[in-house]
Amino acid sequence: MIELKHIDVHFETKEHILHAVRDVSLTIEKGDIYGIVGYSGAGKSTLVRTINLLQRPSNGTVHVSGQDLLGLNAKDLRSARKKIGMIFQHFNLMNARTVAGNVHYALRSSSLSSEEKKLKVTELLDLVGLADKHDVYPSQLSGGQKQRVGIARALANDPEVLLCDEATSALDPKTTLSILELLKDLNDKLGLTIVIITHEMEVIKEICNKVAVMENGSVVEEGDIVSIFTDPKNALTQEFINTATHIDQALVKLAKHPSILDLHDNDTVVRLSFVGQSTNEPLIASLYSRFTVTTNILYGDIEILYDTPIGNLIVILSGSSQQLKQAVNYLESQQVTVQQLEKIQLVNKSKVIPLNREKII
Amino acid sequence: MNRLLNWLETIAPNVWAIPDRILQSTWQTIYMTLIAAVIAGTIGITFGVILVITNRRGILEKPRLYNKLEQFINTGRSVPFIILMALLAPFTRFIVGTTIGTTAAIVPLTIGIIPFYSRQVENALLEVDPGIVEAAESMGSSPLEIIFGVYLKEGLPSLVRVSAVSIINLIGLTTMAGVVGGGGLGDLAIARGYNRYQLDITIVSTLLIMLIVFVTQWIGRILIRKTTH
Repeated sequence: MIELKHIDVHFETKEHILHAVRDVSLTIEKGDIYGIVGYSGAGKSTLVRTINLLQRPSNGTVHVSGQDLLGLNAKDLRSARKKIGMIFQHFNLMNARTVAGNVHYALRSSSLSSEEKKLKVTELLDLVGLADKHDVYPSQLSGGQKQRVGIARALANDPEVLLCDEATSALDPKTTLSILELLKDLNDKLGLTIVIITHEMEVIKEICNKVAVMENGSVVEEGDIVSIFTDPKNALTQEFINTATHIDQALVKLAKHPSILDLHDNDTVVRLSFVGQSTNEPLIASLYSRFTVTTNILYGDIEILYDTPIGNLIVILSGSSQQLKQAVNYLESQQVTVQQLEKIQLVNKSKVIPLNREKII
Repeated sequence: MNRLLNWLETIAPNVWAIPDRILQSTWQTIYMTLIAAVIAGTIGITFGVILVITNRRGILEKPRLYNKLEQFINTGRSVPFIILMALLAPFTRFIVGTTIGTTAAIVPLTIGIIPFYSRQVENALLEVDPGIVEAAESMGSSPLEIIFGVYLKEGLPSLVRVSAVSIINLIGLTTMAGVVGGGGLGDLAIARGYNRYQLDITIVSTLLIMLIVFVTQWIGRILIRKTTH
């Protein structure tokens, strides 16, 4: 569907050359909701703009629906762009036009009759849930409503691809969810391929089936959402995931919590992570009944990613070292990843970090 | 009523003596302003649009064309208007057949205001959110669609604002039209009022010019309110 090969983008200024995107190759399949996550300045907005050539790459090739976009003349590129919708962080609606006028603008050069265009505008506004805002100007809409107009406008020419450039970053969490729900809906109903650029792993977690992580213009890790979330290889990916699953905040809180401060000799703090069926096993109960290891749950979280449950627990295990060893072996036999945590004292704040793997019980 | 007329006659005897001349001068000022505004407006908007789209990051980036036009505008703005009128005499003769009179004055007025107005239009159009232009590009809009559907439509309130400012500037320039026999209220104030020590004529000319300026501002404000959503 979308094939980027060896994309480089650099901007030349008098003093130096800025490499915004370095040798990125991505393949996005039809029907994917593909997330590209990274901090600001990672080059993700520049990368997504190469898909509709709003940004021409310095090197590399761009194919969308089998068409080599870089080989098209201006006119053919314009018709290709009509099949690639795009929505923006700041909505970019035309203030001088009504909601209907904004959607209608996208249909300017379509071959529909003016009656058909009107009908199409009404249908699109219905689809995004703004049937009653037909003749309202954008200045009277809330952020979420503006983005819905943006979506209706982007869908006007029945595109196969929708590019979302930080489309929810200017919205509050609740509105973000409702917009993401709408996007998911469109993906289901219309088979729309969606590319989402964001700095929030939460957004990725909510709707994407695939994800690429970007840093300094390069893709550092890429894969389907479940494997990325359960087994992140890159440090940056781990950081994003810890933020998204709130493990980071939990660790910060634990560092301040007294229960961690006065651990007994036989106590140890561990993080348990598990994927899929093992969530159904009564693990904690088994630990006590089998090994008389008691478990004190400090933090727990279960995410459902594409119907796969992913759990994270931070617990204190108490028992003799022999019992603990057996318990950990048992957990690992149940496909639970066990990671021992320790508390370290920094200059004026304490922090809980994972122990080195060798040190595990 | 009679007493009021008598009173006006005593405080402004010279004005009272030439009511036709005052009406004619007012009309000359309005005539010069309107015609010059329409012609310079068309050319200025064209130049302003060209500046915006050929500039760096514009939709049809053409640095050399941009620099040429920019130079032309800067040169134009640096010539004082009263000298420009003398300088343009041959050109005026070529266009209207004479260098003297109200219609002849319209040529230097138009050319004098174009550089200023082009720059104002450029600034007004630069206020259009580049994100909206980018959105239009992403929808596959052609450059013409972006110029008319985005720049000129989204920039309309700013365009009205800078147009009002430019027209007021133009009214200022028309007061110098007397130099080439163009007449108008400025000429009246100097040739009659100042040179003949008829202060009341100068005052009335000033008041009439102010009235025209106020009406321009008022219309501008109404239009800005109507075009802002």
